[in-house]
Amino acid sequence: MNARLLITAIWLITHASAAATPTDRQQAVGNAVDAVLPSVVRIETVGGLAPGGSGQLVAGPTTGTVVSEDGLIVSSLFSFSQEPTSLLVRFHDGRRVPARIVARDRSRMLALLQAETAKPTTPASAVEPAAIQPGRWAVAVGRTLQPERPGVSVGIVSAAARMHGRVLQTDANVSPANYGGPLVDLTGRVYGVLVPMSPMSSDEQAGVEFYDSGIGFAVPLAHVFSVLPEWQKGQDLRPGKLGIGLKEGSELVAEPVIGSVWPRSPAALAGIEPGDLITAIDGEPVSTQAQLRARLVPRYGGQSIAVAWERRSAEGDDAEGDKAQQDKQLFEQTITLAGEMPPYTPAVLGVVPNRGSKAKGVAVRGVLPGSPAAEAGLRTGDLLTRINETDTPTAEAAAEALSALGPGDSVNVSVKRGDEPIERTLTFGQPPEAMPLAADLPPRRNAATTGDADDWELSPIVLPLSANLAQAYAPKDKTEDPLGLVLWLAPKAEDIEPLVESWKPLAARDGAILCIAAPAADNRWSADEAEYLLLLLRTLRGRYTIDPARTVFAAQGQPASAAGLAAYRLRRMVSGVVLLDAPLPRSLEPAQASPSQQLSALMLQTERTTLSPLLASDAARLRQAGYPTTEVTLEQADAGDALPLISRWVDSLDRL
Amino acid sequence: MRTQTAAKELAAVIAESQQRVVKIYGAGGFRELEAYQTGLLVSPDGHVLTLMSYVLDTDDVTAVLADGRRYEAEYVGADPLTELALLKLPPLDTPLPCFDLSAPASASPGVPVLAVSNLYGIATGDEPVSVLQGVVTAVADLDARRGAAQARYRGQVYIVDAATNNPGAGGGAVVDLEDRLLGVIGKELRSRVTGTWLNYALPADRAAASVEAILTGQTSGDDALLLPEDPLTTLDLGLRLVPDVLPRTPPYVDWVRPGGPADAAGLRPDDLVVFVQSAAVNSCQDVAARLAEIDREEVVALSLLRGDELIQCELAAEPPAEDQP
Repeated sequence: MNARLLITAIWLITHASAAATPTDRQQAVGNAVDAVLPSVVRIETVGGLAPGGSGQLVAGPTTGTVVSEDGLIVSSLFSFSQEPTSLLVRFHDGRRVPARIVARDRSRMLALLQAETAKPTTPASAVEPAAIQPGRWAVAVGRTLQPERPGVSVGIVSAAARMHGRVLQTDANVSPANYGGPLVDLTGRVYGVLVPMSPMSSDEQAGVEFYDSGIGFAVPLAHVFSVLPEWQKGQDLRPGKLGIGLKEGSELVAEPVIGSVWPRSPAALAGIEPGDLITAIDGEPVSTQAQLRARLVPRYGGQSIAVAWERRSAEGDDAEGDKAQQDKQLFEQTITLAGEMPPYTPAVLGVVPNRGSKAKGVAVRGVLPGSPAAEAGLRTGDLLTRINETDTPTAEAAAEALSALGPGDSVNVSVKRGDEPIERTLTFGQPPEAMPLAADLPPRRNAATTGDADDWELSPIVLPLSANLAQAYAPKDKTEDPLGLVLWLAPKAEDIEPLVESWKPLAARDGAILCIAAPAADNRWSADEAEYLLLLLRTLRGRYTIDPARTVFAAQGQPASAAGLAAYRLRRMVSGVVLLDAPLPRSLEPAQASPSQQLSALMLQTERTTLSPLLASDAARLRQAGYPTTEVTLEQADAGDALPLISRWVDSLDRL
Repeated sequence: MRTQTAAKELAAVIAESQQRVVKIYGAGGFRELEAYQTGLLVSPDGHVLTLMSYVLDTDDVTAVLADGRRYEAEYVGADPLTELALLKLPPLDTPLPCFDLSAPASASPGVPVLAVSNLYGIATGDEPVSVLQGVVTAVADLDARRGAAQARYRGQVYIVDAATNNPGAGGGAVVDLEDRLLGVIGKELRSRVTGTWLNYALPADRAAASVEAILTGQTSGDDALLLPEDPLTTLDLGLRLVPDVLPRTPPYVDWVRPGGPADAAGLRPDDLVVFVQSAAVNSCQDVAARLAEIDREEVVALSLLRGDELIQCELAAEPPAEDQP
């Protein structure tokens, strides 16, 4: 730093605090921008994919922040999602040179670029983390709108840590006009690099909807410098994953109890099991799901953390809480987080349980042909009581025990056949690509538990403040045993009688509720109605006893788009989707299935439909993402005729 | 106490500028077409500068002054290029406070500004209009669209970081902290560069020119901002780009005519055109659009990428030959 600059810096520091009048502030802002400008570049992207998705925002030039003397530049991932064929960097002095992307940071949504320059470049200097405090003046600088003169927006630091501590927040205008540019203090030092970010999605364009709204984010430059030595070697940084899914519950209140463990994930290899409770990360206690997330989300794949967890033994009698306490096992282990999970493929046993059985164990209603259970000789009437070391008094317990397993794994199962105990070892193969139709299964044993047909009725389900209409054919009284649920999205509220009539005998046989919902405006389900469907599902789950493993959305024709999207978005609460002569929404790109988020699909088509090739490619798309998909061709496109098939399929969804 | 003085000044600036801004009510009022916008008093005898919009599509346009006085406003004329319109209030006994268009001010990025407008129609009757504070973000050429259509005005505008791009704000004032008019808030537009809604204002000197043109009846538009009659094409430069088959086909040179201007400048097939003049081009369509803005007589600067090497050259069209295809 030469003497003149030093004097300027001292003047700025003393003056910044006195920047109380607009005129003083204008002077201070001007000086801050001038100070950082040599480190702010414009990046031109050339070629690449057509703008996708919303199509609202175009790919244009963007801004970058220089972080080294040899031409390393950090920018936002936002402008590179279209895979441009070439990049050019225009420096402060007007020089224009080609550049390439060295690596990406998919956790903090940054791109690292190397500009091919022989001349030394001017790196920005970072505000030390302790000085990032709410209320301090903050100036957002971009070069996107024009290369020669910077774009400037003035605000304050609104929060030091947001998005689980990955970014700071500002009320200066942040938009595609300055993503990738610096957010500076009044001395021109950089708080952070401006990025869009959203709590809802990790997409490269997510968060752009907050542009110019008073909510803007920046990744602290001090953090960028801390990872730069590793990052510039060219490996992408990815969010670090433990490989766990948590039990459903309110994030702010519920304890971090493991619901599922991704097979062969870091958590699985460390021996974490479903039902375990995470108690501390790196010695810091965590008591809620939100606290656990806050400690995990900022980490990258490849980083190691110390995880402490406890296991409450199932041996303890539930009635005696004290005794259960005593059977607590404690674990602690250093675990290296994974950047990418091995693709998830579930362990399918091939047992369809008999619902409503009061026996302590999984009563086998049927065995899927060719499954590991069939090969091990299990058969209808057996009682599955143990998988490896885990007792399986219920189907849920068995599902949990299987959730951390995958193809290639072997387990020992204990079975009671009459009074005779049987031990078997079986090995999981690749799961079936399609869910078999349960046509060959014997009917459920306890038909009585769903009540007589007389006890079922068609009644309206009215939600407050909703223009949608729904009617459910369901038992008058809440049943003890869980029922299946088919949520049928109809084009309109009229003419539902034939559907209900066809459903009546099926409801008695397979024990599933049919709820028919109509859109607010005739014949058209819109994307906005997803919220209604969530509320409807919650209401039904409150009013009746519903089996989440047999809850599906179904539709024919236009409403199928809404049904497909709703099922996909609610896949923590929904297990399947039935589409009749309808393709998936084009905008849906199914994420890889995970232990806590699975979906089965039944795609029905009539013989002469012109949609056939589209449906086949959709089915392939779903299977690719790990969702078992069954395709059936029907003779007629009549929903009523398809219902028996749909009911059978739903009946088999709770297979293990 | 310097702070207090400044605060008082600011209050005075706001009060003065609010006196010069009027609320305009006219046609509209259904779906997303609000029946109100903003106007600026630009002469002591009641000339009001506002946006040319559907709001004026009625014989019944009302202007409400800051003190609540309400007048029928008569349509004088409009400038089709800036889409500014001039209205006239009926003759009054006393002169009205007004912005002085004969001495337009200007500002550079970072300068604090106030945006004074009938935003969302919040202010009614004798309530003065709403004021937002912010800074000048940029002074840049307007490259914007309304829906899919390109905005007509393409000259320089002020981009500000106050949220002026909202219903009713159009026709409002952007002033500096000395109460000088910097610009007039324009119609709601999206940037063609970033796709975002723009908070912008037409510069006061441009607005003054529009008023002048309307009053003298010379609103044929600014020739400099219109497209040339005989624009350049790639063939004029002796080259052809790859077939435009994708929505954003990268503009690679496909063929160079031996002996043509491109050949003479050393261009080769597979060079990628990245700039036409100073504008970045991402696709074959961009190249065609940028060339269409350049007259055939002009020299055009091209930048091309050959691998990692950046090639810059200047080309002039060949004089038209009789035997060209």
